[in-house]
Amino acid sequence: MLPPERLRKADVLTSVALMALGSWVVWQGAHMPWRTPGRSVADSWFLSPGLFPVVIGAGLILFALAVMLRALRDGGARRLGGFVLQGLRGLATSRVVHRIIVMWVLMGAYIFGLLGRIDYHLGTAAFLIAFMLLFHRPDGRALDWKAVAIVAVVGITLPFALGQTFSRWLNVPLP
Amino acid sequence: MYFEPFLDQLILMVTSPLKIAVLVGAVILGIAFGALPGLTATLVVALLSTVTFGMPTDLAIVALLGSYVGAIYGPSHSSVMLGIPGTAAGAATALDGHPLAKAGRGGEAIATATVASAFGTLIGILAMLMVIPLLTALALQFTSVEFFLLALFGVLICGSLTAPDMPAKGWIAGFLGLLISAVGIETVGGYRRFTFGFPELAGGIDVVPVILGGFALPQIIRALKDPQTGPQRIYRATRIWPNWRALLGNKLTIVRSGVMGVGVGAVPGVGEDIAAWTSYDAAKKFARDPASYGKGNIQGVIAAETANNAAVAGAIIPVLTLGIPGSPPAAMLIGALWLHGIRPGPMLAFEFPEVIPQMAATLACATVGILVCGLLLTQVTVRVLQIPRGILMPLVGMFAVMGSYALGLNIFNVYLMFLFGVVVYALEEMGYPVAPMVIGLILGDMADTSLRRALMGSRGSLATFVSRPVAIVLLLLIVASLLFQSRLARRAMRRLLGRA
Repeated sequence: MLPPERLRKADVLTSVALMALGSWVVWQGAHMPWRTPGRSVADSWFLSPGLFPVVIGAGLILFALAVMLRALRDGGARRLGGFVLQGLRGLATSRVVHRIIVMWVLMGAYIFGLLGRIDYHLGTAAFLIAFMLLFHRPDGRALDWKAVAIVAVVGITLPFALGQTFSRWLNVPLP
Repeated sequence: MYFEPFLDQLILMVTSPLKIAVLVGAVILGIAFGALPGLTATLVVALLSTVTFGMPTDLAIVALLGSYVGAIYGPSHSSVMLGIPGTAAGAATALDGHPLAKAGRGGEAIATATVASAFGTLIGILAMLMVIPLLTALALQFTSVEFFLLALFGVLICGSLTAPDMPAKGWIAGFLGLLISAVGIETVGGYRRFTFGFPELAGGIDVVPVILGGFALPQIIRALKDPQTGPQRIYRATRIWPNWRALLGNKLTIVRSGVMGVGVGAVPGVGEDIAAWTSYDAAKKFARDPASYGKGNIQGVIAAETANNAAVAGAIIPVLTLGIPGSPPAAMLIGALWLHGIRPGPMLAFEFPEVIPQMAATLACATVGILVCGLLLTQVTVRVLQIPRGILMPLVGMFAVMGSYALGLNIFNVYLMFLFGVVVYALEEMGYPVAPMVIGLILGDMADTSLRRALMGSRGSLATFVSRPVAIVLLLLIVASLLFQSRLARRAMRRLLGRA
């Protein structure tokens, strides 16, 4: 979780986003069928598919407002522009942020780029080996030949073992 | 009462070598998941729910519950030997367990934690067998009004108790879960909501991709984002034998922690970690030497471990009687039961009368499982704990992908899992908890249909929500849980009390 001072600034932004989401949900719910001409119970407003989304949207707006009020009271709006700029600067300079982005990109590339497009074993092995080579540091040191060998063995054998378990024993075809 | 069918199921269970083999495997897997930092009980139940999809229902229940109990007990190993709890449920154990390991009493701490966990599970089973018939009888009196209010209460109370920053964030997370549950063709009129033209969304969003995305992917990022993570010192466990004198001398602590564990576990979405902390806190308050807590007091280990394992049965009680999960793993258990065509709730005792005693019997056997496997595997888990995170975490990603895909053989579920992973990670960084979102997703359909049915019964009159005693109680609980979190309301209350 972010440290308290930064958290309150982020709260101001997220509460605005959540209020926008809540408003959109209410708007969507309001455009669902509410009443059709007729006198039966089935045509009543309380059976509308839009009722539940409207309740959810209203709740989101209300609770997001509570988060915003608390954030404003705790000084979340002060130097908000600076906070955004600092965040953008972090994208370029922070090593932690870089690691987070690389991990998401690797997982995204595996899921959207490899899975279902090339052979499961090959794609998964490529993902595992790339991920482990980038993030496995035995005892905090750089990779040596032994660590690379371990990565290669794990990265190749485990997708094969998992694939065989699912496809042969559990009768689940691989993606 | 379920005591007789429970004994019948227990005999059936212990005389089936296949079930025992599956149970032992599931308990060991659960212990490994619980012990490894970053892997959770919810994750192991979620992964097994897809693996056990093709199994007979009774065998699937054995695997799911065995892994659940094992994963709640497992963190005691990493808490004691490493000082890092595998899950939040084991965090309270680490406070006193790790100093004991440093003092060369790690084996004693783990063995005592194992016996305390077994006692906790047994207290939970006893409570389960006694409470379920009463709660089922009460739930059968419920109408749509009560079910709507119960679902709303579940989401709100879970939000209040699990939000690390402010309760409103927990409520928002719960409402986001309700919103996710609204996706797809709604059950009353068959209208498509929020499907954006994707036919894959017409059937709604399954709980498995949400849980795997919400619990597995952010955990991978958190475990590896810091480049400074160095090697951990793992203490050796010598003389793995429980401290019987401490256990016998803490009978009252065990009973109190067990009862507290069941009670806290039964509160929707709250779960085993809060049970452990509440019980640890109570034990400290009642202790003769509270200052020794956190410095290696075995009583702290006993209190936390008894409570978190008692909470397993506690979390299952509302699942079986009301269809409401007491914890995130119990939420996943509901999802797994749905996959097997079982809808937990008040009618479960009539539609599938064997399920409740079977679950109790499985929990009883899992108790023996954690006693035997837990004590025998202590040295093995120490080795498992040495697996570097850089190797382990991508494997978690691989399992999560396969788990999401195996459900319905649908690659779209994997895309959804990734999307939820990103969203949950961002939300958690800003203090929004994931548990209420899962509870909201599970309870959303019940809340939606019950709200509309309740209003249909009253022809649109809102007075129906204050027309029945249980509904009034639930409504008061909802109002109280909202108001007591408000600073303004608390200040007004203090002023009022001050004047009085």
